[in-house]
Amino acid sequence: MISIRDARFSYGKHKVFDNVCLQLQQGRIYGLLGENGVGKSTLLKILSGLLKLQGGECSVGGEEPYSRTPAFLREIFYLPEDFVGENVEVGKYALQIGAFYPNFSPDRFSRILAEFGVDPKSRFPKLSHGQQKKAIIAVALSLGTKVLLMDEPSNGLDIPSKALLRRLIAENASDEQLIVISTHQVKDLENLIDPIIIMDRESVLMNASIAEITEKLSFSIEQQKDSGALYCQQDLRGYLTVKQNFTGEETPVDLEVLFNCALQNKALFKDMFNNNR
Amino acid sequence: MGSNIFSFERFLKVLKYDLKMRVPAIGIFFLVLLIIPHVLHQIMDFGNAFPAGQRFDLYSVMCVFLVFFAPFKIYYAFRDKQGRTSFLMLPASSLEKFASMVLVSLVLVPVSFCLCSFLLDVVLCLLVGGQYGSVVTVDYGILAWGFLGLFCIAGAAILGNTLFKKGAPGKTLLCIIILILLWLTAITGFIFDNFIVDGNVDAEVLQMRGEMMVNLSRIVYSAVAILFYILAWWRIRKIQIS
Repeated sequence: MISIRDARFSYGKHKVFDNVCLQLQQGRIYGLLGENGVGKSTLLKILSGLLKLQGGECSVGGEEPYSRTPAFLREIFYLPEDFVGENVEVGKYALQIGAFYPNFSPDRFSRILAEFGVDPKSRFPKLSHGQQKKAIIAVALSLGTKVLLMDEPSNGLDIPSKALLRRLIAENASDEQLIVISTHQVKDLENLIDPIIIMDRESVLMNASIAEITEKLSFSIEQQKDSGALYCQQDLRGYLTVKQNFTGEETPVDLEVLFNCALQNKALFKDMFNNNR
Repeated sequence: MGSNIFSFERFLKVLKYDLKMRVPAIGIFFLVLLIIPHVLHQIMDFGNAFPAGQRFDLYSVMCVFLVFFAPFKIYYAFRDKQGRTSFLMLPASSLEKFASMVLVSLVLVPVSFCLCSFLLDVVLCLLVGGQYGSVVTVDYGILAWGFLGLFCIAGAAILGNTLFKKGAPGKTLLCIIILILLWLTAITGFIFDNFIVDGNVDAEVLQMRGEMMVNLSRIVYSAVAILFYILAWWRIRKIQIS
């Protein structure tokens, strides 16, 4: 559904992508992880047509995003990190913008908004940052677009709302939909995002499903530091350890540990996981 | 849903969206401009007659202000990153969004203002007939120039709103003034070149050149305005959000 080949992009002299390749399939919720400044938001903007690739090809549902045709735009919704609503009622905004999207469901919008506890009669500027975020997430989930790109959706949400967000995304995502969620806070979206994409400077370190990760890596808590492990991180429970999985036994993936492990073993991760998928 | 370049059905949706979601942003400014002529008269010339011709001139000036500020007020969101993102991601073509912007800024808002000014004038004539006398009438002589002026001003304002982020109205006004000064400098050299023959002003040549300047100005202003509109549409089409 989304195909990126040999993508090149830079801001002036600062290179962001250099021959990046990525394939994303519909019916999945991708988690886009990476350090600050590696280009997560840039990638989402390229996919939504807000930025133009300087080299290579990008196709979203068969369309070149930057052409921003109506046919493309009505099948994609981009939720930016720093959303600030205009001076309109939330409900009125949803109905007006929903008119452009063929699969918009007003009922679903009302239900999600009610679950978030936001009054549809409230005007955006009267709401807190977190409330505005909830309102626009409700809009995003009710539009029924084939591609939904969310940049740090859990930022600004309180702890109960983060759990609710996970549930609402899981409940409202359809098999025809492709969702990409960029986040720094991997714990917020654990048990929701699968596959995981980890980005590095100018390239992609890993693009793999949880099943593939558990097949190749094992996660455990050890009382002693294992010198043969790929990665060890000490916390109150002991050493959170990542090793190559030679036994075939599946272990639950700790996304934060996986992310840190990937950053410490870049070459191995690139080799271990096929990034061009 | 038809063509990816222009679909009338989609254009109507964009227009409806603009009218419901964006146009209310100009409401207070619109009302202020509507009452300014009457308030000014009460402050500066209280008790004296307020002739229809004078009122027409003031309404016209207010209309020029409105047309200049309309794109900046209505499409203010275009000047910040988030607003521009929402604008660009709206599922319509750049031509449909641009056409709606032009229709709102150049036609719907000024026409509504003229109608409201006329209605307010009628009401005030009925209430304070002594000062106001007859209802204002349209001076058709300046209509053609007036519309050309509004066409140019709206074009410049729409382009300025898509180009500048901070201080957009001021920067646009500065650009307009610079362009007009450049044009006047160029044309003045031509008008006053060799029109004094043997120490006498050649009135016939001067009149002919004056008429030529007026006609040439109309053509140049129209061409520049059309260029402004094309550039604004191009900007909407090609802009990137970093």
